[in-house]
Amino acid sequence: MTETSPLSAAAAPPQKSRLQIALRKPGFVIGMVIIGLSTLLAVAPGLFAPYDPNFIDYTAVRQPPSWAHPFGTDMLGRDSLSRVISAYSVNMQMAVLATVFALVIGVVVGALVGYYRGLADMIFGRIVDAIITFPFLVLVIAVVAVLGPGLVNMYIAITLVGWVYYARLMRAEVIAQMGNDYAASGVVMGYSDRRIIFRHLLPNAITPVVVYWMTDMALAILLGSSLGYLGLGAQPPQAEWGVLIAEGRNFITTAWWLSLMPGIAIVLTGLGFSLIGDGLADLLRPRG
Amino acid sequence: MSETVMEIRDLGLEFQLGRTLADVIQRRPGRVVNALNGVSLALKKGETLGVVGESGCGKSTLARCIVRLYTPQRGRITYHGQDIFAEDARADRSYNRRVQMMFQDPYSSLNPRMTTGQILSEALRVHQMRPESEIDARVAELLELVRLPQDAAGKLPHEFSGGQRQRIAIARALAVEPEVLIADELVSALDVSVQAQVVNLLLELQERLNLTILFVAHDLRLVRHVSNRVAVIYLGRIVEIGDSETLFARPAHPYSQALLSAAPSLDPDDKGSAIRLQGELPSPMDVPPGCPFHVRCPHASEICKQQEPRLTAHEGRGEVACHHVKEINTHA
Repeated sequence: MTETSPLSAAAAPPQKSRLQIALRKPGFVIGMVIIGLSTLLAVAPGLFAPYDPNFIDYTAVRQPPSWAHPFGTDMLGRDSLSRVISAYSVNMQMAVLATVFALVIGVVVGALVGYYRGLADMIFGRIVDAIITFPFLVLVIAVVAVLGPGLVNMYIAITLVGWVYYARLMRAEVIAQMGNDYAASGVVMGYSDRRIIFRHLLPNAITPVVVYWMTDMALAILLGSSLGYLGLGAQPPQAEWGVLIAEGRNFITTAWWLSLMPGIAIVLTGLGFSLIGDGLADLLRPRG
Repeated sequence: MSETVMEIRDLGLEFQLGRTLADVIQRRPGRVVNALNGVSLALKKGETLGVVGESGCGKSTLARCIVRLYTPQRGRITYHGQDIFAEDARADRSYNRRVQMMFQDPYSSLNPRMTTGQILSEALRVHQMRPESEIDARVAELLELVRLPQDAAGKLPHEFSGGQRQRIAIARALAVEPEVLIADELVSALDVSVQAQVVNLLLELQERLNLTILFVAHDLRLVRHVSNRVAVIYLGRIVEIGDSETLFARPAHPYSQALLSAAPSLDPDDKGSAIRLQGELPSPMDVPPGCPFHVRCPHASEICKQQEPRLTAHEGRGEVACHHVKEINTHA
């Protein structure tokens, strides 16, 4: 039947777009809302912060949460809420800048070694082995120790280590995709290697990498604030969640809100990215 | 006799299997699969050559060598006299345009993220088959040619059935206006009713476009319906090749006889006089010496164990590779 009858648009019920399906998933929607709001806070912190985050008021130090200061004030009398909000721009920037270069490098390298295999792939395998044997944080700290503390050096350090995880994932997925005849048919059609890799294999292989990217953005925030906490990332008086937690550490028994509030911000954004990643896995999967 | 388009000479290909731990301990070399063992054949312009054999006999490997997905270790393939594996020919993508292949699995041979229109126009653009302004019209023409509705151009592969996908694959192959089509088990993944439509479409297009087709399949009745000539492959060798009707009516090689008699008959009175072969198909990792068929052959003698028979022409038949063709076929 279906073979002979023409496929008319009217006969088939209109298919729901993937986005419509994804928007039915509460997790994905919640993730989008969290990250949407976080982005807004990152782009325009001035619109939401009730006070100047760097305004020092010695008459009101370490005040507990109140209507005037919902998150309390710190040891210099700065408004905690304003500092947590103004940290959004640094921490959201971390999520992107610490991952996007690793993503691009990893995708290209992974696709190339997965397609060509051979000697380059063997060398790549050794590099991966060498890097993943070390705990991520230890390796990043080592690189930062060499380059010196600061945000830019932190991005470089995370990228130097992080691209391997993307490349490994991409390589495996490209190899799996090459088992499909559409890759062979690209060769038969006389297409160039570049076309086969980047036009045919890459779009089909990239889904798990994009999903991992979302998780990695959450991890990047966590890693960035860890380094901030250790004094190797963002430097005070810059408001950054890790730095804020470190500042509150000495007063943890008397002024618990100083460390708790930025901690909640880290958890929320991390959760947001993870939920989006989960939804994207369904959104990006090809059908049939 | 029409012109020879493609000539395959003594093609040989081995796949190296990795050494297992047991191999290393026992100091054996890694094992080797003999996929092709000296296949020779010639494709003539406009013909359909069927290639049949059991699973694992090297049919698909042969097809994949012809389109340069595999590089054979021995022998050569010439296309209009030009060696396709020569250094300077390898980079020549126009060969890929002239010799196209269609794959067995319609669910994996189309990029799931490209619409039919993108798949076809990509082929047209890469090979500059048409100026940019005529590409849409040509895509419509190709869809028409394989009898797909025009709105198919905007749809993704998952929206089509297996038979429709195979027709998209045919359209893609035809987009670059090839001379030779390799059909590797083109319809074996499809329902029987759909098989007929796709095969008949292929035959009709062959006539209209003067195509030469190498039709690889394991379905004997289908091959008989489609082919002018047939080659029977056993363990990477051609054991018999000849005119389709003659070969199907009076197979000469004992393997061909067994293979054809194994196909079920449509005649209800035929209670079956199937020639049952002894033993299993030997592993291509361990091909018997001499005639590779001698371990299963009811007519095997001493010479079969030692000497490999060559393909030789026989009166009133095609070419057969068997030491005992004459005896077998006089008292048969």
